[in-house]
Order: sequence, then structure tokens, then C-alpha cells
Amino acid sequence: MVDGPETHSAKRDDESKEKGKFIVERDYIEPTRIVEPSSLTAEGVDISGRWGTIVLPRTINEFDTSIYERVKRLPGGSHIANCWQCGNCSAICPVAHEHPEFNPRYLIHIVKMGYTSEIERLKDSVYLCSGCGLCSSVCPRGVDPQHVMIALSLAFHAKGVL
Amino acid sequence: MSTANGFLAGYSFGAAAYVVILTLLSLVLTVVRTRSWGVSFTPLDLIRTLLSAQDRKTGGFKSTIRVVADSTYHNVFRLRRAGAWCNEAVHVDGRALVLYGSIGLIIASILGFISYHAGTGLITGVLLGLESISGVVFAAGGFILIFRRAKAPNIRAVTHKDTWALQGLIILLGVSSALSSVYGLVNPTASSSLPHIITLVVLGAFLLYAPFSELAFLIWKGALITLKTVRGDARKGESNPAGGGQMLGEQR
Repeated sequence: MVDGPETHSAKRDDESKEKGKFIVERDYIEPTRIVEPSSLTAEGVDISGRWGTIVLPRTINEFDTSIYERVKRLPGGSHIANCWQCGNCSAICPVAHEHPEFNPRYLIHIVKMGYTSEIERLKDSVYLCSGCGLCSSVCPRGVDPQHVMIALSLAFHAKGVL
Repeated sequence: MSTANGFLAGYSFGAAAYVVILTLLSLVLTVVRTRSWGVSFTPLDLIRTLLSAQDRKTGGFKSTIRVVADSTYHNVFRLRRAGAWCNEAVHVDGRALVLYGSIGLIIASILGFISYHAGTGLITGVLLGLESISGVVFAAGGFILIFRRAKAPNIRAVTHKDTWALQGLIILLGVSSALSSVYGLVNPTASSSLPHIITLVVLGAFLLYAPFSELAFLIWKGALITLKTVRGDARKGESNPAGGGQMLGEQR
């Protein structure tokens, strides 16, 4: 029996989901950048499988920190600079468990770094925040991510990203 | 007797005018505050989109209304975007009670006013009963929300003053509305009452404070989500006329 194009496409989707599934925050890496050689030997030692996983470097050419500057001026966003990326906010966030594309730590990171393409890719997820405030309660740096998410929504909209 | 009835009708119209004026003022303040953030007032954008829905681009008026109704039903009434994903049941319950209580209060107050002036005493009584129940539900929701923040030291420490103030006003408004409705049921011929006057004062404070609280952002965000759903649906409809829209948050 010969597989049709639809079967091939489904197989490709399954393979992309399987690739690098042990990587922490796997959802933030495009499948094309994850390489998992089916067999890999280094100096005579077989390191096939997940041990041979390689994440290819990402090239970012476009940076725009104007959103970051705007967020700092908006009410609730003034402490964004204090974030040291510990990830407590994302770990406790109930929405992030339900919708992995919403990750407060990563959203703060891409805005601080000005990764335009990543902001464009994840822009809609900022509205998933339900405003429960758990993130702010565990933040060791007083960033107040709940209100930073409000400032991000406003800054994205004002900038025309949304 | 007729003088008393005349005074009662005048008082009722005066109270209604007071509420309408303060609501309009609250709306203006919300628009001004939203504009101070450097963004457009999305509820107005949504109304504009609805009015221009006859255009081909927005997929027709009927389908636009359907998308708005679907979005409102799922995101607001079923709390999908208003807290249902929170794994703290007490938080979701608190928000649900505030939401349903406020809807009950608004509907019962408007219908009660119409019924009172139409002279349908029995219906007015039923509506006063509904208003008192809604007031209790509204206040209970506010109490749950404030209690959730007050009992956990870490959440208490990061709660802003405006959140305490808003939730406190919700409790006050719910309790005073319930008491005022019960008073109206017990004394249907009273020309005015202290609980009713207190309710009007608390409502005034709530309407004037709401634009400066987080509620302004929630209104802006709610309208924006609906607007994006409508526009997303229209775009999808252009490429596939038979295709339905996808709600924000459904994509995984």
C-alpha cells in the first residue's frame, strides 16, 4: 500500500511534535531548528536518540526596543526592568498550563530584548491572561507580571502589533 | 395620597436621571483614561464595525452579530476569558457571582423602573425580589474575591489599592442594593428610603471610580477580543465563504 500525501503530512506533523520533546519550553523552538540524528556516534560511543539532540542557532536581525520603552511608561509596567527571568511566574500561571503559548516570563524576555519576529508570533497570547495575580504573588523581584501583561497588551495595540 | 404618589414618581425619575447622568460621565471618563494609554477605545471600534457590517469585508450584519453573540456567550457568560482557566475554584466562583449578580441587578433595576411606572404592582414586587437576590449574589462575589486576596499573605502583599477599593465598592453596592430592595418590598408605599439613598450614593461612587480602576482595562480588553474575533471571522470568510470563525484562545 502506498501512502497518500495526507498520510505523509500527518506523519511529518507527528515527527515534528516528537522531535525534542524532552526540551524544556519546547514550544518556543521551531521544529526546523531541532535536529535529532537517528544514529550518532562520537569517538566510537553511540549517542543516538535524545542525547544527540541539537538545537540549531537562531538568527535574529530585527530588534525594536520601542515597545519596551513604552511598557516602562505605562501604568503597571514600570517594574519590567527588574525581571531576572527566574520563571516563577510561568511555573505558577494556570493559563500557561492550559495554553503553553502564553508564558509571562518569555513575553517579558522578548519585549526586553526587542525580538520583533517573536513578538509578532506570540502577540495574541498576551490576551489569554486571566488576571488572577498568582504570578505577582511569587515574583521575587516585584515585577508584578499581572500588571506587566496589561501594559504589554496596551503597548502591542498602540504600536499596531495587534 | 395623590401628592405622595406624585412625589414618589418625581423621586423615581430623579433617581433614574441621576443614574443615567453618572453612567454617561463614567463612560466619558473611561474613554479619556483609555485614550491616555495611547490606544483607541475599543468598544467604540466594535460599534463602528457592527454599523459597517453591511460591507462585504465584515461578512454581513447577521453573521457579525452571530459572532459577537458567540464570543460574548463563551468568553463572558461562560467565563472562558474571564477566569475559567484559573485553577483556584474560589477565584472563578467569585468572578462568576460578581458577573451574574451585576447582570441581574441591571436587568431587575431597569425592568423594575418600567414596571413601577406602568403600575404593575405584582411584577414590581417580583423584580424587587430578583434585585435583592442579585444584590446578595453580587456582594457574595465581591466578598469571595476580597477574601481570597486578604487570606493569602503573598497575594495580599502585591494587591494594588485600586483592587481593594473596587472589590470593597462591589460589596457595598451589593449589600445596599439588597437592603434597599427588601425595604421596598416591605414598605411599597414609602416615598423614599434611607437604604435607597445610600444605594444611590454608593452607585455614584462606583460609577465615578470604575474608570480609574482595572475595570476600564477589562472593558477595553473584552471589546478588543470580540473585535478581533469579528475581524478574524471576516478574513476567514473571505478565503472560505463556508468557514466559521475561530475564537481567540482556541488555537493551540
